[in-house]
Amino acid sequence: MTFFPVGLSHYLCLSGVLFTIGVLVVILRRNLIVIFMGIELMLNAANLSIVAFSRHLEDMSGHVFVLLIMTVAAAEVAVGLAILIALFRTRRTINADEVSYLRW
Amino acid sequence: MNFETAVANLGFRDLAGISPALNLILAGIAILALDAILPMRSKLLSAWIALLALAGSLFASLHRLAVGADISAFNHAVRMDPFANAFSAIICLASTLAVLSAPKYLKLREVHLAEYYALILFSVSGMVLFGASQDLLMMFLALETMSIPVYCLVGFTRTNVYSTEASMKYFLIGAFAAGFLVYGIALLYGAAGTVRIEDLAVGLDRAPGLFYSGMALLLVGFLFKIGAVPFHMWTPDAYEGAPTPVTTFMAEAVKAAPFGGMLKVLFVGFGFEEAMQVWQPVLIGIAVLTMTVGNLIALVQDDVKRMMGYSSIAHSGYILVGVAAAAELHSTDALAAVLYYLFIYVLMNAGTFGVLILFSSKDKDANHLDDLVGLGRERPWAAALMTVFLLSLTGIPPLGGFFGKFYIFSYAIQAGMIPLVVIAILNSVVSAYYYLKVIGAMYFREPEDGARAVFYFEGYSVFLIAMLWLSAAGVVYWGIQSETPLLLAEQATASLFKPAP
Amino acid sequence: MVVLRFLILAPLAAALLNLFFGRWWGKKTTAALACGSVFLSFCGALRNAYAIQIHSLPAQRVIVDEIFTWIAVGRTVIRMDLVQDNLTCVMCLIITGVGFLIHLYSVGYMAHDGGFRRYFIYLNLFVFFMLLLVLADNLLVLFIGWEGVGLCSYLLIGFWHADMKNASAGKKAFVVNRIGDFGFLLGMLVILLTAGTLSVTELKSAVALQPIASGTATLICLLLFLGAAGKSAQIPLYTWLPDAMAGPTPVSALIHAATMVTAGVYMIARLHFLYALSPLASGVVAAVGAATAIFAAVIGLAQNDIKKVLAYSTVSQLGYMFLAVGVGAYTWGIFHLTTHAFFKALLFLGAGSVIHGLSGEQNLQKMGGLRKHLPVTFVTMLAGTLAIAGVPPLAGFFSKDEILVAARLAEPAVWSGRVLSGIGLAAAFLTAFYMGRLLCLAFFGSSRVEKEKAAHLHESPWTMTVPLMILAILSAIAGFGHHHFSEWLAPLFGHAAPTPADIHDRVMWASVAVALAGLGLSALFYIRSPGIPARIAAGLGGLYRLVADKFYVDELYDRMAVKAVYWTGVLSHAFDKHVIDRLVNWTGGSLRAGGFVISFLQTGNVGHYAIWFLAGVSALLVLFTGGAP
Repeated sequence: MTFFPVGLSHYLCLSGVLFTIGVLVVILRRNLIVIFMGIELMLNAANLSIVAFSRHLEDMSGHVFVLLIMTVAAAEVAVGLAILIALFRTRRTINADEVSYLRW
Repeated sequence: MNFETAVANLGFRDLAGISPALNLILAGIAILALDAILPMRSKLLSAWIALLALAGSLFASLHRLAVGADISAFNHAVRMDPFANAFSAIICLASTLAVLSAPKYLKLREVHLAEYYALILFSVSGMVLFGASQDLLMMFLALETMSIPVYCLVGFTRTNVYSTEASMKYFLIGAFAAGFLVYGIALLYGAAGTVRIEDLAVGLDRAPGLFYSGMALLLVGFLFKIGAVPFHMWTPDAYEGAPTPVTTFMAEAVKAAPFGGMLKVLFVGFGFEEAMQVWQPVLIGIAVLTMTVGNLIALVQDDVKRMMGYSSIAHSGYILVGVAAAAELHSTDALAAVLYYLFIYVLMNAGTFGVLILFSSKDKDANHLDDLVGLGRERPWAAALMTVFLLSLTGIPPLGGFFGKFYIFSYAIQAGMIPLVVIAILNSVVSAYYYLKVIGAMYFREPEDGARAVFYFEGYSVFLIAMLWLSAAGVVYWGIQSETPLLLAEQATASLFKPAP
Repeated sequence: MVVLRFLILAPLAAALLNLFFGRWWGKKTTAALACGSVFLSFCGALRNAYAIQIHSLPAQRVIVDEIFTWIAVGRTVIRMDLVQDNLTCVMCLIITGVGFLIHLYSVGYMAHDGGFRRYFIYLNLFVFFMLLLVLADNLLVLFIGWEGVGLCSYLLIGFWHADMKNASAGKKAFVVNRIGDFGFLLGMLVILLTAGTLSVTELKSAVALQPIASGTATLICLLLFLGAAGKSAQIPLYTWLPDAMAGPTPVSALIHAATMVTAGVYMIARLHFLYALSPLASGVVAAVGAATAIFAAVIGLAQNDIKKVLAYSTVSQLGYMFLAVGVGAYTWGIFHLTTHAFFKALLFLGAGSVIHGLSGEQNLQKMGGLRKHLPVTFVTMLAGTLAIAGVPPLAGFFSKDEILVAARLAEPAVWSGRVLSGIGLAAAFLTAFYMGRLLCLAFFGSSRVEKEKAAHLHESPWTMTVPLMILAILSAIAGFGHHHFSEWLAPLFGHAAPTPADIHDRVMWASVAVALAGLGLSALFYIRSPGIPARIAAGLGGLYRLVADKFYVDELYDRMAVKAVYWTGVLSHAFDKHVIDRLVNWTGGSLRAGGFVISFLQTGNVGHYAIWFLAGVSALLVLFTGGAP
């Protein structure tokens, strides 16, 4: 039984799918924490594609890049959750639809 | 150059190279340390440290710009060339004005914390590095360094529902955009095999599909930051919800900084013919949409801060016109006009929000149009200053805003983009309505109950007054005497295309 | 050598300081600041004059202060440069010197006025704009000064604006000036189109290399002259000057005698190389000048308000100056400008002293015999009258004489030199007569002053009399410097051709005779036999009425121009309101409606924001990759 080689395009395809799912999560889900997860999914999909490219191009800088992006993503999430908590304390909700006092 | 030599080459020279940014980072850390040690006394001291650090960076950048210094650091990851120095100067000026407006207001809202100044300093350091970045990785890091503190700052008045809501929305859309940005970088990396901006062009030959997609997504990230349509929807909410000093900071520094990186990417990375033919028409279309949507919605706003949010969207549109013209003409002088516009824009906006801060009180802000009625009679000087800023925003000569628009539109006409200029000028005319509406409220409307309007002056502080007068003087003076800023700007943009020494 | 920008910035700084902080310091400081700044500028101008004098190289005889490039669009570059050469030196010294004396005088004159601070702010602002006008190298910057002095003139004429008449006079001055300015602007436009530059230095060298076609030059010169006519009150735009007497008397002295009204003459002298290219335009200038000189003199004969007499006299004397520059005698035109500045300012300030002493009386018929009560004023005004009449050896004789000689010898277009000279001589006679009349009616004879006013009659304080004395001395001795004067301006205008001695003598004797005759006749009419004028007036009947009512020129303008414009305005207003406003309001309304509708897209829901974001991204992706992924 031969396995067909898993090439760059497969990784890219997976990355694209994950990214799209992440985007859809952000757009379609109402719970703020789930939206965060979607954003993380988007970022990691991008990470995946960078690693794939890096492997394909045999260039180390891609791997380094991914580590840095993960760091930034972690910082971002920390801040985001802090903002979420502040929001919750004032509005007592984490439903994105209900948080729309500022409009028009 | 392999890894060992790369590491061996690092040294103090690199740190000195990025000294405007390093200065700010160290000052930010110092503020946090100070706050830990002396929590009671540290607030005003932190403000002073921040101001001094920003002033120091401002002068360092101006000095470097004047002497034409071009310093690469960290193995050419960062290059403080005249372009970076110019943007650094503009941003440090913007931040100085923003910090000057903060202390009293924050005290009124009981959130006068040292972290405020530290966050601002860290954000500004990110902005400075953003303009100086030579590769996409650095650019992304700087972008995030710039953005994340601002997400916090927007929500700084934690107990205010609007503030936290604005912060959440800004954060979500910001992170969303960052995702697209990173994916774009990924695609470009895949296409070009490198993340260095100047070397991106090879990607076009190797993998055009990836290249163009990556370019599109990268551009999306920048367009989001500057508030271009249809990525603009966070702007009015963030401007309205944030505490007004933070709005000032956003309207100036956070508005100006992304242009630095965007111009670098567009003209150095995607500055060759095939790519320009793709992005330039799109940019024109976005400029038209941005100006129009921004101006139209601003017409029906009653809250001055929200209106200024839409106005800043519209101004981004005008700037994009300038960028498109510069692309058409392949001229760095046209880009210099864009820099000049940003410089004047910073001054005008500072003043507008500054006046709003001036009249805030413990219980409420003076952000609504109705809050400004009768200002012309009660506080004529403040009303006069506000008028100067608003007229400059409209583009009335001989104030700076007029000259900014004049230069940009002149270059656009030179580039032959007549319909675009016509649309831009029509938009300027439309914008006059909402700016003059404020002037009308200040001078020509009477308070409803016939009594004299009452203006709390609790937002008064020496810092703020200094900031207002400096901004007003700057708008008037640098408008008439636009020679010096333009000259410096031309030096700056000319260096975009010179190779690193 | 004093850097030029400080010369003009000193009065501006004083004005601004008084504007912002004047509330907190008293009148003394305001006055000291105002007068001091003008004095500083005067010293600076003196220093510059000295610096120019001691240098023999032509290049160093011009002081240049390059400030910055104001507008640079395409090939048109407009710089804010200041240039001081011999001509501008003269003007600067007059403006700051006479200006300082008038500032000093105003301290006493306006001492009890509530608008003291405002007055000095406007006055300083005026000096700033006038200096800017004179020192500017670029015509557009000159125009800024031109407009600025017009603005200050408006503010100062209508200074006591509570009285509608004063405000209207200010408005009239501004509007009439505007008409002239229109011509100036068009002239500048044509210059820009033909020569590509508005800088006087560049124009001069450009014209020297390649003269402008005569027709274009004529057009330019005539258009510029329209501007000069507006500013310097020549026919047909002189009607604002008599009305401008509604302002405080020192204002009349400074602005409407010594400086602002001379701006037109100065402008023509500055651009003499353009006027040299167009004999027709120069001829028109000379003809209009001569016509104005005599026309205004005739009207001045029958005026009873002391200031109105002086106003028409100013118009008339300005006519002389234009006559001079029109026949190419630029040096003498400027010389007359200088001497006129001295004696006209003196006369106005003296009139102010009289008015001040009489608690506001301005009607000559209600004065008389003041020579006993106002001795210093009388003596100085006598000096001024003799000077303006052209009695040697006072200054006016020399300047007027040289102008008449130059006119006689010239061969201008429109009217011949003899005709111009003859008209000038006739006007000189009338000048001597009406000035003598003024002097006699005011200072001689029995007193016709009202009882209450006579009770408070007093000589003016030293702040008012000292300037009078200084100006009187200047009016007396300035004439002796006329050779030095022409030498000083020779680098710019060249040396005058030597005049044939016999013509020179004939004209000289004629002018002296005419001056003495005029004075003598006035003495006869108004001192010896006071009944004669009344009988002549009665005898002439309608003709006298015509002259006294200024030939009904104002009424004519009102019928012709003002009413026509008014009714056009009414029609336009109706059209504007019902057609254009409807259209504009509809446009505005629809835009607002559009904005309102679009604003609903901003729902406040983050998910929606994200959807729009995604839509944008997709669009961009499609556009960038051209459809094929």
